[in-house]
Parts: sequence; C-alpha cells; structure tokens
Amino acid sequence: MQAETDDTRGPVRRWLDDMPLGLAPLLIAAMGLIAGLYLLVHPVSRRQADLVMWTFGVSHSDAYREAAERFSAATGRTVDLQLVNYNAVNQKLRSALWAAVNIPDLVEIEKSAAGGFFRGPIDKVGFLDLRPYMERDGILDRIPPNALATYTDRGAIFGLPHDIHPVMLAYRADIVDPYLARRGLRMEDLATWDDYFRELHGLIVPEERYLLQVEYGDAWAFQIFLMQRGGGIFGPDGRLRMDDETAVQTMLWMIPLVAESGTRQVAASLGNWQPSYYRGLVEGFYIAVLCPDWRSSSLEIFARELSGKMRVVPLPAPVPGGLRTSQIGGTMLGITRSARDPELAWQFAREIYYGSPEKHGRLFRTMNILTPDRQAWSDPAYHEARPYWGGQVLGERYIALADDVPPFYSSAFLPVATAKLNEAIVACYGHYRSHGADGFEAYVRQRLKSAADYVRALMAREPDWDAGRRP
Amino acid sequence: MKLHATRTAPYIFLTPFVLSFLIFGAYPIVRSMILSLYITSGPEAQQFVGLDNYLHLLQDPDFWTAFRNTATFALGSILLQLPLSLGLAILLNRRDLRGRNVFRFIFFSPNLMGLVFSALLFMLILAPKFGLLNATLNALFGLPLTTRWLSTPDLVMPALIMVALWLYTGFNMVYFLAALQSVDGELYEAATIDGAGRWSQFWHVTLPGIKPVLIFVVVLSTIGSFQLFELAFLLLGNGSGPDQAGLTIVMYLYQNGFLGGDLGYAAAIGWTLAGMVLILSIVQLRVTGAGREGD
Repeated sequence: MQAETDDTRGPVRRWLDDMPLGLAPLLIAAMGLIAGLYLLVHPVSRRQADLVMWTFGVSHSDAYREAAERFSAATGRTVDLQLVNYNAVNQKLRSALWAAVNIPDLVEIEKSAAGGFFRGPIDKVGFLDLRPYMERDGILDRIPPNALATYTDRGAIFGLPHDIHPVMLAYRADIVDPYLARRGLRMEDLATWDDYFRELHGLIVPEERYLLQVEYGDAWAFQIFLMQRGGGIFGPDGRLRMDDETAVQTMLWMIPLVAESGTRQVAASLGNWQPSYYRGLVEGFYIAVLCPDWRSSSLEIFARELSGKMRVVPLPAPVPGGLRTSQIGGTMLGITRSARDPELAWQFAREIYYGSPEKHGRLFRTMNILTPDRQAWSDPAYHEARPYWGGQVLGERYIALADDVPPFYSSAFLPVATAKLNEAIVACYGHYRSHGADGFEAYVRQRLKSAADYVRALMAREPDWDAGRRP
Repeated sequence: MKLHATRTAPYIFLTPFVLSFLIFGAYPIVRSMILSLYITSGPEAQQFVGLDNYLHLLQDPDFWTAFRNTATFALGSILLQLPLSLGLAILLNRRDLRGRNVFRFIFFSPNLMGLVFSALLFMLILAPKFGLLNATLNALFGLPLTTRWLSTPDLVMPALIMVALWLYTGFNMVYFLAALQSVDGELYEAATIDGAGRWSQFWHVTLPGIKPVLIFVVVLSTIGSFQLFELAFLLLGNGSGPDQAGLTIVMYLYQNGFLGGDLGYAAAIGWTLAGMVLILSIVQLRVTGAGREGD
C-alpha cells in the first residue's frame, strides 16, 4: 500500500510499465495499426498501367510483350502483361469477378472453360460484347465464321478467337507410303475412313502395330469424329445434342475401332497427353494420330526422332464427299466489363490478334498455331517447307482446311457434359469388349441418353436469368 | 493499476488475431453457408433456392460417385498405409538395426518432394507399354505391357492409393516412431519376465502405449483422404479420369464452382463434406475411446 502511494509515475506510464510482456509487443501492435490506417486512407494502387492483361501461354506472353512495347510507344499508354498459370487463370478470374477486385482489362481463356463465364443474365456477363467493335473495324469479315461459334452466346460475341484449329491426320510416311506404293496407291487416294482402314489393314500386328491413335478414356477423339460428322455436344443457342443420331452413329463407328480383338482392332491408345502418347508413335505402335495445328508442334518437340518421316493429310471423310477436317482446342481473348477504357483495350486486342501478319507468322513458325485472321495468312511463315514434315508446306495445308472447320458451340454446362460423355465412351468401350456387337446399338442409345438426361436435369435447375430482360 | 493492465493486455494482444479471424475465417464461413442457399452465376446473378442445393446434392449420382471414390481412397489409404507405417516404425525402432537412420530418411524422403513432382513421376511409372510398373509386372508375372493404369476405370483408384502409399507411409511412420520411443521400456521387460511373446507384447504394451498417436493419425489420415484433390487432379490430367473413376468430393466441388461457375452448389458440396468429416471424426473418436479418462 505504501509502495503504491509512493509511486510518482502517471497512470499511463504505470499502465505501460505493468504490461506483462513489456513495451515491445505493444509498439509492434501500434505500428501495425498505424500502417493499416495509413493504407486504408491512402491505398496503394496496384494497377499502375493503363491496361492489365492476363495470359496463360508463355509463347503468347512473349509475343504480346513486344506488341505491348510497340503499343505503348505508339499510344503513350502502358500495358501490364501478366503471365498466369493455365490452371490458375480461370479461378483467379472468377475470384476477381466475384470480389470486383483486380479484374484485368483483357484476359485469355481456354475454349473449354469459356462457356462457364457466359453464364447469367446477358448484361451481367463479365465480358463485353465485342460484336460492335468487330463490325466497326471490319474484323468479322476477316475470320472464318465458325471460329466465332464458341465465343458467341445469345448473339453476343464475348471473345476474340486467338486461333483456329483444323484437324489433319499426321502419319508415319516411312511406314505407310512404301506400303501403299507397293499397292499402287498414295495416301491422298484414301478419301474415307473406310478406305484408310481397308487399304492399310495389312500393316496391323495385334499388340504391336495399329493404324490410328484413338483415345477411349476421354472424349477428345470422339469430339473430333463427332464434329467431322456435323454433330457436337451442344448446338447453337445452347441446345444439348450429345445423344442425337449423329452422336449415336459416331459412337457405333468409333468404339469397335479400339474395342475389337485381333486384327479387327484397327486403333489403339497409350494415353492422350502422357509421354507414352509420343513414344507410341515413335515406336510405331500406331502409325497415325489426329493432329490439330498445335499438336503438330508438340510432335516436332516430343517426337524429334521422326523428323522427315512424318506427313500430314486431310482427315479421311466419314462418307464419300464428307468433311475432311474437324477442330479441337482454342483460346479466346475477352475484354472485361469492368475495363477502365474499353476502347483502348479493344485497340490493344486488335493489335495483338489482328495486327501484324509477321507476329502471327512468328507464332506459326515456333508453335504451328494458325491465326483465324485471313489477312495474316499471306505471311511467308505459312508458306515455308518444313523439314520435319518431309518438306510439306504445313501452313498452306492447315489454311486450306480453315474455312471448313465445323462450329464448336460452348456452354456453361460443357465441362459436365464432357465428363458425362467420357463416362458414356468408357462404358460403351467396356460393353463392346464384354458383349461384342450384340445389343451394342441399343446400349449406346441408352447410355448416351442417360448421360444427356443428367445434363438436362442440371440445365433445368438453371434459373431463366434473362427473364424480364427480353423485349 | 497493475491489475488493470494485466486484465486489458490479453485483449489487446488477442485483438489482431480476433479481427483477422473474423474477417478471413468467420466471415467466409458464414458467407459460404449463405451462398450454399443460392444458385449463382457471378456476384450479380444469384437466385435463392433455400435447401434445394442440398436436396439436389443428395440425389446427384455424381456426388455419390465422388463420395464412393473418396471413401474407397480413405479406406484403402488407412487400411494399407497405417499398418505399413506402423510396421516400418517398429522395424526402424529396433536398436540393433544397422543404418536405421538412413532407412528412416529413405522412407520419409518421398514426402520431401512436391505433389506435382510425384504426380509427374508416377505418370511415367504407370505409363502403358513403356512404364516401369508394367515392365516389372510383365517381367515377373507375364502381365500385359499395355495395362492403362490411369485410363481404366477399375485401375484408377488402386493407382491413386499406390501413389499415396508411396508418399505418406514414411510420413506417418515418423509419428509412430515418436510414439514408440515414448513407450516405457520397463513395460517390455516386465512383459518378458511374465512370459509374454512378441505378439502379446505388441498387443498389450505397444498398442496401448501408442494409442493416442494412433487415433490422431487415423483421424488425420481420414480428414486428409477426404480432402484428396491435387494428386488425383494431376495424375488424371486435370480431370476426373475415365468414367469419373478418380472423381473426389473436392474435385467435384472444384468442377462445379470453378469450371461450371455455380459457387452456390459448390458451397453446398463444401458444407456437406465438412459435415461428413465431422461425423466421421466423432465416430472414430467414439469407437476408439479417445478422450476417455486415462487416455
């Protein structure tokens, strides 16, 4: 008691002195509080540049960086180009749109994920409708119309197509050409799939060599064949058509290719993305693969041993006179609704997608990716002979098919529809392996219908977001 | 005055944590619960559906596929992994084993590698025709070289469990090693004097001695297994595998929320998963008698 009365310290001083852990933690807390308050009043602007763009492709990023520098020099406006991991870009964009924080002005998205961003009321979709800009600047006329199908929703074009991906057949010329020559034939003579499998049948050695790589653990190959036959998972206006007659017939045709036994099995797969995919081609386990433009580049990189031994030809048609190509994969560039200067964003988008033919030429030279911009096809890169492909002019071959590329319609329900299609393919493969052709058609119809019904049930839950907005 | 400062100090020091927790912990939890009552398509397109997301979930065959796959993985992991981990720990706890520290490091080392690296490594090992596993099985048992481990529905889950075994057996072994070293050596001496054999000693001395750690590892492994995502996602090429054979509950959540764009349904999946894990953990704790007096 005496000590307390003798204490001449003020109450604050005493309070501070009596803090159990001393003054240091309190000082740290105070500094944190002051810093926090300061940042609250003067938030640091993270968007210093006039435009922020996200891209997931390293090769894209390299090409755009040069373009961004030129753009900045010409306009005096800066572009912050950010490379975001392929798997992260969707999540990052979705989070940014939800939180309305750090939304980029421009963003590239892979085709299969695009539909998920077009969900909801048309005027609340996170991307601007680019149709007015494209019409104004005459871009629409420069692009094969089907290249836009994926990114068109309820009449609005939410994305610019970065590329167009015609599919060709890449084959082992060192094995196939001499074999056909002995029979007085050339690869170009095999106009249909029936021709292809019939004329090359003698090359099949069960468990050792097959005529085509066809993956049956996912829907990749099936989609290529389906679109070649004029089908699709979705139709225009988001209509689900994965169980229509075209899909049934495609399944009935494709599954026996891989599920038959002995020499009746004409196709096989060692996976679609793993290193074994390339090894299978190198070792001659299969002598041909379905090859969109971008995959031709992967072959050049991962199957180097085949340099000079590979050739491409248009896909054999499903029926005489049928379509000789299909399409798979792709990337779009969207301008977000929150872009601070949409006109500036459009100018940059136009510059990198429909600007210099040389830039596209460089991309084709390094990645074999074909731009949908017809004006760029005059660049010399598209007209060079490629040693890997035995001197074939790869660019011209893909360009010749670009206008025939079938449309691929996107939807918010595409991921789930594709997953259901995968299930149906695997189930049909299993059924054919165990039962053969007996009852196969009925099974395919039932399996595709149940898969489609699942997706339709999900679609039926979707509110009519545009109710009340329609005139 | 000292008393006053002593009373206020905890509150002052707790405030930053409480604030952070409220903003970054409690708010998202409450918000996600509210979100699970909506069908959503972005922040500006939401429709209240009450418990319909949960009702739909219960009738959703894909959810049950995901649940079945996840439960299979959890069971496979626990029933194979934990006995193996314990066996290794007992083996490497022997003082007479030469180079036991080297072995300990070898068995633990897979855990030092990232999941991405492990997934890439096993993609090569499991590859058909050219993979190490098929080559070994072919050489030993004459099995076909073209077995598609990651593309055949029935083989996907065994493959995932195998990779998880490789990754986590050594990790759990460390827990058991620590637990074994805390068992009183005198108990073994007494048991030996009483004529107890090795099995009897294991059953009556070792197991009761390591029981708290064993329960901890079982619960932790169950929770970890139910959160399976990255390993399956990477091994199966960013997807759920053939016939959804590798679809897990968290992957299903991801597909709906981040690919399909319906965060409301994804939130409902998340809450259902949380409920499942909670129930499972309580059941495990009750069954094993954890928390009872004397444990």
